Amino acid sequence: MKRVLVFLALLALLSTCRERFEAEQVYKPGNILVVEGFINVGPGITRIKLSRVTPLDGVIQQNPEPDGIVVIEDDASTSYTLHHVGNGVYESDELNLGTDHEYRLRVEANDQLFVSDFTEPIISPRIDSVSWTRSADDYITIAVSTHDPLNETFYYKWEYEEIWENRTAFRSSWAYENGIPRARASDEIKAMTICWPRRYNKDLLMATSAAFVTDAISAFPLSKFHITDVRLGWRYSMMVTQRALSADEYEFLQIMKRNTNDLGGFFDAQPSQLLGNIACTTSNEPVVGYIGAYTSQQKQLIIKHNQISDFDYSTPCFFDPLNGYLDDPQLPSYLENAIPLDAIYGPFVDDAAPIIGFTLVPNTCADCRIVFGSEPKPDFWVAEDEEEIE
Amino acid sequence: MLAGCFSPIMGQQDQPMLTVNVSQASLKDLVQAIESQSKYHLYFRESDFENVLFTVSAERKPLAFILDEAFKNTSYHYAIDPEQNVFLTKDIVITTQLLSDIIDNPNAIANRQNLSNDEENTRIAALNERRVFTIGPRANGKQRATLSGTITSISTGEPIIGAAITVQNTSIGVATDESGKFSLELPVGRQLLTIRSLGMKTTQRTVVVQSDGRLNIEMLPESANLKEVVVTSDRESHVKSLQMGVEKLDIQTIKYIPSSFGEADVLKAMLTVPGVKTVGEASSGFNVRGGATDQNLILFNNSTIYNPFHFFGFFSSFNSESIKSVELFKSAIPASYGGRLSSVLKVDGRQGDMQKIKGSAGIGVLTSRLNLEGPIWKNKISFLAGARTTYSNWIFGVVPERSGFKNSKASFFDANATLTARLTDKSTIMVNGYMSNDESNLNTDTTYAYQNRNISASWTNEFSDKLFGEFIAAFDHYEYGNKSTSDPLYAYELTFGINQTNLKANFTYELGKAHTLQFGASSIYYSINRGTYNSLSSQSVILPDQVEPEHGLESAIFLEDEFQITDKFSVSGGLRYSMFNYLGAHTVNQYAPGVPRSEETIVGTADYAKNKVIHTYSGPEVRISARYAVTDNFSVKASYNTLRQYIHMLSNTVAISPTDTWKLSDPNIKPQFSQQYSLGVYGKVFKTLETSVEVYKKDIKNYLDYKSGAVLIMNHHVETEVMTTKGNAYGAEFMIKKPSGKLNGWISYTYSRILLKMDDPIAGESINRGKYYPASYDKPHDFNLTLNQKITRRLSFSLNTSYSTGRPVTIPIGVFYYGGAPKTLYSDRNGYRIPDYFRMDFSANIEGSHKLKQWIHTSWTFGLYNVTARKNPYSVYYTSEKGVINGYKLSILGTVIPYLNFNFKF
Repeated sequence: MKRVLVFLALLALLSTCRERFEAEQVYKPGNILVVEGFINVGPGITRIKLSRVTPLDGVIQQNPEPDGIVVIEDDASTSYTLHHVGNGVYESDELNLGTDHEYRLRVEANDQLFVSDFTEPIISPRIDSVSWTRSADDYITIAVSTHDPLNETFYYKWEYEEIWENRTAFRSSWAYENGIPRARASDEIKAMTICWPRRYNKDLLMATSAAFVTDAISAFPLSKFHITDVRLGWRYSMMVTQRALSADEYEFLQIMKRNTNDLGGFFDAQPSQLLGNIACTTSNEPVVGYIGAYTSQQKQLIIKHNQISDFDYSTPCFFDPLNGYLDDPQLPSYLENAIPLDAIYGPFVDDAAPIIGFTLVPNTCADCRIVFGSEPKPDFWVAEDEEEIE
Repeated sequence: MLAGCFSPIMGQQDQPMLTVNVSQASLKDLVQAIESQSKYHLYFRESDFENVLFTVSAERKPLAFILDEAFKNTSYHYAIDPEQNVFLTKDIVITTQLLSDIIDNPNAIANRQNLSNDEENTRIAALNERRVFTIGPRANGKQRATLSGTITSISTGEPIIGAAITVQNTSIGVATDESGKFSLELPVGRQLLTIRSLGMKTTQRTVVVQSDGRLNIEMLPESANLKEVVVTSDRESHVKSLQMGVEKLDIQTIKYIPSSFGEADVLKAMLTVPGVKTVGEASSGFNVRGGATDQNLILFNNSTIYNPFHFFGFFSSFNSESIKSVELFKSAIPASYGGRLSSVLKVDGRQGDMQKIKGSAGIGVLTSRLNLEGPIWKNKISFLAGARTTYSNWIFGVVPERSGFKNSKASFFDANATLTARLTDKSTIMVNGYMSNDESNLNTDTTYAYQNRNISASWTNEFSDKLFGEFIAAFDHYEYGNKSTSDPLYAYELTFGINQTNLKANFTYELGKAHTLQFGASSIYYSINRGTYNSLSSQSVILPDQVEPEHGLESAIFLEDEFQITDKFSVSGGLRYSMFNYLGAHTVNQYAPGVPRSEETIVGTADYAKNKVIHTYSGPEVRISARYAVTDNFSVKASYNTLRQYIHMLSNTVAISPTDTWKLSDPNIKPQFSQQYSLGVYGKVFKTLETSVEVYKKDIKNYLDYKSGAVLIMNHHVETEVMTTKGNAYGAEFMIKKPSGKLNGWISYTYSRILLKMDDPIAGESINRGKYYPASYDKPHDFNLTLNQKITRRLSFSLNTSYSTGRPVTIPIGVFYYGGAPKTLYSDRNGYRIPDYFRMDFSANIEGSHKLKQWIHTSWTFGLYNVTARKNPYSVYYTSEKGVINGYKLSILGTVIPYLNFNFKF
């Protein structure tokens, strides 16, 4: 009896506490504009992204706004127009905005005008370090540390771009196209074998030192992955951009983060309205966004696979290639997902051995472009590394 | 069954048969009736039979039968000798026979010493019902006189609170106060008083009122152990009582209401009455007539309890073994109470038994409780102590890892003690102590903890027949906080606390024929720790911080007159004048006038010295109610109440949680104010059904709501985070109650709304564009059915069903990309509702054997909580999964929970 009670009490507390819930949508969010980015003070370009809110039904997808006019204005009435570079992203020319002006953003879209509040630029302190550590359970954590000797920044935001070198497990020397074998050129082989995928962070990374004794952030974790991750196969770079945040923008982003991540628990606050510093001046159409003006700082971290002592990159391609013969009626269907490596030759006929088939592997095992595309090789990987590769 | 019927053996052959029919007759009349028909001579001492009335109805019966009938349940005895002499005695048994006869017939001796207390008490009670009490010396020319006294339990000596005394054939009625005292104005002459109280047998007293005088009345508890006494079905009812909007539940009723894990829960039981709601099972606090959870004054034996729940609201923190009754005032709040806008919940503990040591204990699935009581000095000083603890941690120990609760811990206990000293008949001192402790973590590094610590002392004294006084001193402490020590670099502790010292004096005075005056004064000194943030390790980078503590003094004087204009019409008018002083030492932020308050608009600060008055708020509070009894079974009542509240709970969550902060009114935060109009009709139909309809409308001013993203914890300028709103609450409450019978219970339905509208001109933002929006606990429809069916004396079944509209929530309505990831956009505040709430519970209660001399009495309760296993959502939340944002309902107790409880008394 007691056991039964224990079991039932457990069920009571813990079983299936959650179920799907779909509220009847009585109010559509319409076409609310979202303005993302900041005014980059100092050398560099300013990048602003315009998009639209999508209603909460079906698959979430990006909903870029390509038909906007985006202009930076300063308090001396100078303006700098941004150009649409695709996907709702607008970029300025290479500017060097001074820290002695206040700036704001003007956006025209769908016959409405949106203007942000004038804001004084905030100088971002330097990054002290970007470093990695390996935990007992073989995870790599990359963390950033910074401090402001003037004790006046307190709020920080980071973005990063990661680039790594990806190499296939096999090299494809041959192609077999329309029933005709073709030996690949060495450039083609190289392009298929080595890729440099790029990724941007997909999270709001920010921290505050407001509650600490000094204005310093120590080892704020930016990313964490296992040592067998594909990114650690050869060499890995993370370019970290740090910028200060105003307390208001920090709060704005905090609410956005909280609204998205932490709802439904016992003590979670009620969701809040997002209050940015940008408003529609032509109607009371809502708009989401906070546009601040900041300088930025960068620092790069590079990890080579031999820095990780017992390197254990696991590829899904550790197996023997199979043979595909030209007279095999199944060959065309094999080649839908497989790629030839080397030719299989038959007995000599007139001093030459005819190709009677190919060794085959799944195409992703010999062509990295299928997964990672063909991004150019980054400049910062110097030639001497090249030999190491060969 | 009663051994008091001493029946001497007589020769059957020479027994004369008598016919006696007397009703409410004196002994002399009875004797005369007997002697006139027979040769019997009856001998008795007149003083033994003074004021006692007898009723006998016998057709051709022997004398022994007649006397058995007449003396049933009394301490009178008789003996008939062969010469037909009859000796009537009180308490003493006379033997008129030879010793041998007695030996042959041992039953002939009634040994009083063998009688149990219960039997003895029953005998005394029955006797008192037959007596005629003469009140006061004879006085000529008086038309009316005042009768006062105390009503106590005959078995424990405890005063009975709220017992109703009514006078037959009039509309005169009064209820006893907290010390069981009453005072009522009666026409002179012979009157029949009926005294009713929950859990007590209804009793009657015949009085002949000559002038002012006293009468103490002892009542017999209703108990399954004593089936000889007829239980009358006519209990204290809404129809006859003077108050309106009062809900009272005694512990017997509460114990039959099924509850989660089988804990008899005084607060959860209150949720079954109309007008009281909660946002969900796991939420501390309750909402009364559109009030917030911080607008209820919760008093446990005069102590203010700030958090009356354990483990985030699963259990109330009152040990049911120590509780006598719970009473909730929701519309006409007596002028002696104040300081909260919505309700006063009075939890009255029992007093220790003055006669003998007793105890009770209960063992349940998650908790156990123990209660001990008894005399320290018989009939003078008694004690009562109770404690309860949980062993729920084992649950978390055996759960699977993936449940996410593996490393959770929840521990709590509560303890209470009461010392009662009866100095004289008219003067009593009581000392109460209470503590509760909670500490839990829900699989996080953060441990939440809170504690109540309360002590109170009261002295009640009857200065004269007309003047009665009560003096209370109390100290209340509530502290709460959270901490985390897992990472030495960030180890912290965050604590909050409230200390309050209360002094209160209440007087009741009978003025003339029809006025009962209540007056007094009270004062509360608050000290609030609004947040202390400390590092818990030497390496910690946490910068210690403290929000400046606050001090305040809340004082009030009050006067209330209950005026019985005619037998049918009575009014009660009360005025309370409350004043709040915000005291130093404190530094107050000053803001630029007329612009939204923010850190940037602070134009200066002002420093105040210790105990210096920084700001004073004051104002009158009006409490008026009236009752008109159209007939004995139908009455109409109306009331108008205003209240002020000077202490506020700031919380961004829906329920009371250990992360809330309490804040006094200060120069920047005004007191909350409410006024409530209510009207009710009360009728009794089919003799046993009490029906009532109450409607109310309530306006709330300066109700605090929060700006978006408000930071309430460790905020040194919290006034920039809140804004005042205007509240508009209204509703209608319907109830049908069958208080007694084999099938008893009640059905209630409430329609109510609570809407808020931001009306703060300097808030800087407008919620829902300045329109009315529902508060987060607005649940328009609320239905409840609570039934108990007695099958046999030992077996009964209970059923509890409740339904309510889902509460409003703010939910996501759209998604946008920001920082490379999808983010959610939210609807208007409280623009949607979670699904409706429905739950049905069932329990079976089995009483153990009723043998009187058994030293231990046991009972079992088996129950099923949430029989239909409905997954009632407590909240909804949304998460992004594989590129789609999915909404989920989170239910806390989403399945059938069987429970078993074992209770025993000794």
